[in-house]
Amino acid sequence: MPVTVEIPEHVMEKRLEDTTVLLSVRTGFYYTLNATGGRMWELLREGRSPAEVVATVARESGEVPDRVEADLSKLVSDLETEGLVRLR
Amino acid sequence: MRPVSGATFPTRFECWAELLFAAVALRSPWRQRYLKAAPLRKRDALPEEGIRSTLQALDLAASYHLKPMTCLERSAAGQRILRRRGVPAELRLGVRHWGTGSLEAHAWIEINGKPLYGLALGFSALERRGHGSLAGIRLLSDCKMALPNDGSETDGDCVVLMGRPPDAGAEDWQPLPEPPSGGQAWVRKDGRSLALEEGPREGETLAALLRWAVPFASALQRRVILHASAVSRGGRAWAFLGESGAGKSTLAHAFSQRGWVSVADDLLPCRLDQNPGTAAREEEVVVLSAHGRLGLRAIFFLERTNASAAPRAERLAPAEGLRLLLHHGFGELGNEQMWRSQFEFYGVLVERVPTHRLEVPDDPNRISDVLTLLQEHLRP
Repeated sequence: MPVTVEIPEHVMEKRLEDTTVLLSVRTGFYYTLNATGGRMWELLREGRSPAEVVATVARESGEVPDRVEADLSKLVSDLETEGLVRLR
Repeated sequence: MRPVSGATFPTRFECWAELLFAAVALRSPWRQRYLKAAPLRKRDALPEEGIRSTLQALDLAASYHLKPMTCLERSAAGQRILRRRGVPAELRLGVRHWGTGSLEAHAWIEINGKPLYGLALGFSALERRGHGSLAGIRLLSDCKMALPNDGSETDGDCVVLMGRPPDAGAEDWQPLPEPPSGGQAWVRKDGRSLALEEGPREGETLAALLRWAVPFASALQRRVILHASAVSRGGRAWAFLGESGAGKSTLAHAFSQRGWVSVADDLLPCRLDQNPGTAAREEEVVVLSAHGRLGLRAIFFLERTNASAAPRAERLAPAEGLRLLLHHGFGELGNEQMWRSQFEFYGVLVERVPTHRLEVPDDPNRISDVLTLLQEHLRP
């Protein structure tokens, strides 16, 4: 897992009920996240580290931390591929 | 059939040469200087018959020229030729946006405020009372466009420069994607100026260029235009979005035949506005039209289905509405500022205005079934 995940300025977001819609104003491509993905995104946006995100989401959802970590890892990898986050 | 002219050979040659000069000048950095009214020669003005034969000579010269001459080139040349003969001719550019959404743009000559109708140049398409606005943007031309005061709602001004901007290479100007109608268009970064260069094709090139370019100018002015048709009743409006050929215009037309007002056929300008009817003056999404500001009550995304299927309307989750708005938005410019303003507006829109998926049978004879279904949704 990366130490920090940064969200670049060209990414906009809108949370609507359980869904979060992301837009890259650089490419015009848009993406949707489900409730769990949206919560992870929200915490990353707040500047939380991936480890803190895993702990928070596991506590809130009652999921096993290993499962949450795997989900976060996949999400961050996909977001990086699309240029929606930067990893450090 | 070729036009005829009773003008002398020198006049015909002058017309031919002036058209050539106009075609070159309108593509040069001196374009705006050329479009300005030439000095009025102090001499006895030509009588009406002389004006007629001069314009016929111009038309004749245009028919035998190196390229098809646009209405702007012919009008600009005609203005200069007539002013050299003491006639106070002025160049005009007009835009007319019909309620049904079709758009006409045209350049012509006026003498003492009177348009030259029915003469050989064929400038009969536009009347002065036509709208000088399109999709909420008031269009001001550098060709002294006569803007009518007809009460139509406008939401911003945009100066339309005819021809390539003199500083087209500067950072301030952005070329638009290649317009499907031909020609070229540029927009200034603040959306306050457009520059349009007609292509070689005759006809509605100027109108098509304007229709293509105005949404970009509007977006850069932080206003949002939906690619939609819309109908209204009782001060409220309902919008229909969909792919080209989905039936947006057909549906709006069918409603208008049942007594509804068609407020847009293609481009629907929207913005957030305070509602004076509520105590807290809450903000509501309004559409701007020639019929005033209308509260937007619902949006329908049209989808074609099997001709035998029953029409169906399904309420969408706000996120799905936002996704469809982005899908149908004007994203061709690829401009970050434009995307930001659209995304912010769309986000508010789907929170305040219900969105629906509307399945429309692929059979024009079943449009009445769609109207019947929608009657429940379209209550002011």
